[in-house]
Amino acid sequence: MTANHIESEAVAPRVRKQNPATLGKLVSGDFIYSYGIAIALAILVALVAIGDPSFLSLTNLINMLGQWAPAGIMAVAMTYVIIVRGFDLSIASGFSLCAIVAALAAAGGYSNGVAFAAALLTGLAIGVFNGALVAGFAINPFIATVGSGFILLGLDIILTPNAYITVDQSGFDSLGSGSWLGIPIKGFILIAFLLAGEFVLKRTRYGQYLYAVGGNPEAARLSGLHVRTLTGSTYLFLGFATGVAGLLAASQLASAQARMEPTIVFDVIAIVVLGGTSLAGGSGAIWRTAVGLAIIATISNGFTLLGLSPFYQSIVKGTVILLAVALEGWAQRVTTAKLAQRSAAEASVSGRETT
Amino acid sequence: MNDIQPRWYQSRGLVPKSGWAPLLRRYGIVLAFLMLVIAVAIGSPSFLSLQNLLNIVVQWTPAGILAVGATFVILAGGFDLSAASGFALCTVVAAILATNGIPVSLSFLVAILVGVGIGIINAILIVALKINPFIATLASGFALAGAPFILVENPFIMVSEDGFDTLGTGHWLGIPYSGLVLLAFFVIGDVLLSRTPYGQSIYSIGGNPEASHLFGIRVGLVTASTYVVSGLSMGVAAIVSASQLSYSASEQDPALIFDVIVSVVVGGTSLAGGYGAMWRTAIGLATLATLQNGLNLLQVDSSSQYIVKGFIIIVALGFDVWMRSLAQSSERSARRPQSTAQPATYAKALSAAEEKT
Repeated sequence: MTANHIESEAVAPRVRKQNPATLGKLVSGDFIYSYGIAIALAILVALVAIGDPSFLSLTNLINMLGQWAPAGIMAVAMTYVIIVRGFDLSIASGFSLCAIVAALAAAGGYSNGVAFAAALLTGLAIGVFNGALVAGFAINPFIATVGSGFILLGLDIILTPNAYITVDQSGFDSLGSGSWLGIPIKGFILIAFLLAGEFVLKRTRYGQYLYAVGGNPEAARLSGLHVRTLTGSTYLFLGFATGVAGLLAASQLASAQARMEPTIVFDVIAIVVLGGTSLAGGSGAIWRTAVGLAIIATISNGFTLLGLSPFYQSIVKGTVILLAVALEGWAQRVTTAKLAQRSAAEASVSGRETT
Repeated sequence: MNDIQPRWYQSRGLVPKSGWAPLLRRYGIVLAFLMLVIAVAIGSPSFLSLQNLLNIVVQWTPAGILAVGATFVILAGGFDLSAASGFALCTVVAAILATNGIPVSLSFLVAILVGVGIGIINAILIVALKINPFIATLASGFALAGAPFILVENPFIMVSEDGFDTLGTGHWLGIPYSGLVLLAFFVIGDVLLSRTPYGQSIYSIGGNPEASHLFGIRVGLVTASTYVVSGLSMGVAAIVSASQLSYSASEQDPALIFDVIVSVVVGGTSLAGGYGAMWRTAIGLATLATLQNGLNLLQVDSSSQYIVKGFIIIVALGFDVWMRSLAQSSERSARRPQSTAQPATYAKALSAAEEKT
């Protein structure tokens, strides 16, 4: 499992920079790797829209935006984590915990602001904990977060002895159910996360450092980056996003329970990997996550519109994750092989020149 | 039953070499287990009664069988997160067939084959398509979780057919059949790992797949086989569990996969692959079972037990990482004289070359 991670230091975007696109390149693997997913989305949207034209109605699209806000917000932060070669399997339990804390605080008579702040702080604490395990103690992120996920699940169950916590405080549902100009506030928050996420990743030094750490941690360390701090910071961000997602869910339902949405972790992972962010780290982008989000939302919505059993959804989504990861890995191996070929060719050319 | 240590082991930094650390690494879990048993036995003398011990064995048989499969996978450097939903699917298959008039033995056999099939699918995903094992088995597990509900409308099936519960509740000389199945899995697993070339190649691949390939080990085939073993253990664990309960466990128990991983990790098998043993998994399982029994005797509720177990896995993982870092630092300090010698010889070679020209 680690071998895969090490092999893949050559990532497609870097190759693109070396070869300015030509007409021949447009139909090659690089182009498909870069924009294939956007084409897939267009085809999928067309198919679903033909199957049921109401899919493209403004109401339906706005509904989807609100419905997918929690998963989308966490997916933005998960993209950061995956870019630095991390992973987080604890988000489903963490999401529930943040929702439970918000609901408990509001049900306990605290003001809505305090309840929301408590949920955010809980999310940040989860992020610090996971970050300490993965970046501080260098524990394999998959296993560390399986473990922390169980701790969080235990807390969820302890905090909800009556299965549900309901909140009837007025205004608690303003964030989750409110809307402005006909668009749900959740949707605005999601869009803000996507835009800010893309900006920080692409236009700040911090974002560039994250790519460097994910691309080659050893080289990043030798060039003076604080690899552990940078890695840990992505978990902090994910914890914060989990807090936001959890409080939005609690606010929308005006209630919380343990295991609110146990399968949300699959949605988040599917969104990120489907966009084409590499699990090997060092490459990826928030626009990819946005496209992945649109695809997963379209699939789910399409299933509902076509009246298919939700259990087929789990099979389709699982298959989609596998296909996306397999294709991405294949593209990466092809790129690595091409790079090796090219450098071998260059070496033989320069060898001839010197002799 | 020794841990196997191929020669390159010493240089790869899995076991610290000097002081108290190697002893702690190798036998710390045995000490912890004995102390736990003594503590629980003092707290409640009935813990050591034969009846209680047999009950514990029966109760932990499905998790134990799954842990044997997981040990194979983890030793080879992989991971299988699909075990829980694969297990659930196999129980449903056995129950569907048995309630539809298929002979019990045949329905058990089909359930086992379904498990093997799941293992083969995982193996293809990981070995042929080269998908990260965590992602591959997470996704296949997710897909499998929907399967029981598609096979049959209501996958919560009570089975009342004659003979369906024999495997799970029957006895032989007072020993439950399920305990015998568990024992057989552990013994066969241990023999395969520690006494056969196949086992050696698993350790070798977990330790260093690249070097194993250069040695001529068929890395892909052996890695794939560990997932098939894991699939087989899903099928067997499922029929034992379905037979014990006369019920299909279509709702997967989140604690099951957790108990499986914890048994392997707490025993001291490294998640990095290449270090560990089947007896370690047995001790890990026994430790977990004792702990759970102790917590029940102390009347700790099941939700708090999640937290206790979550911390145990993190402590065990931290211990593994700590021991590896100790081993690697001792390895570095052992190498230091060599690395200072190297530039000297290089300089000598350079000057020799200059003299020649």
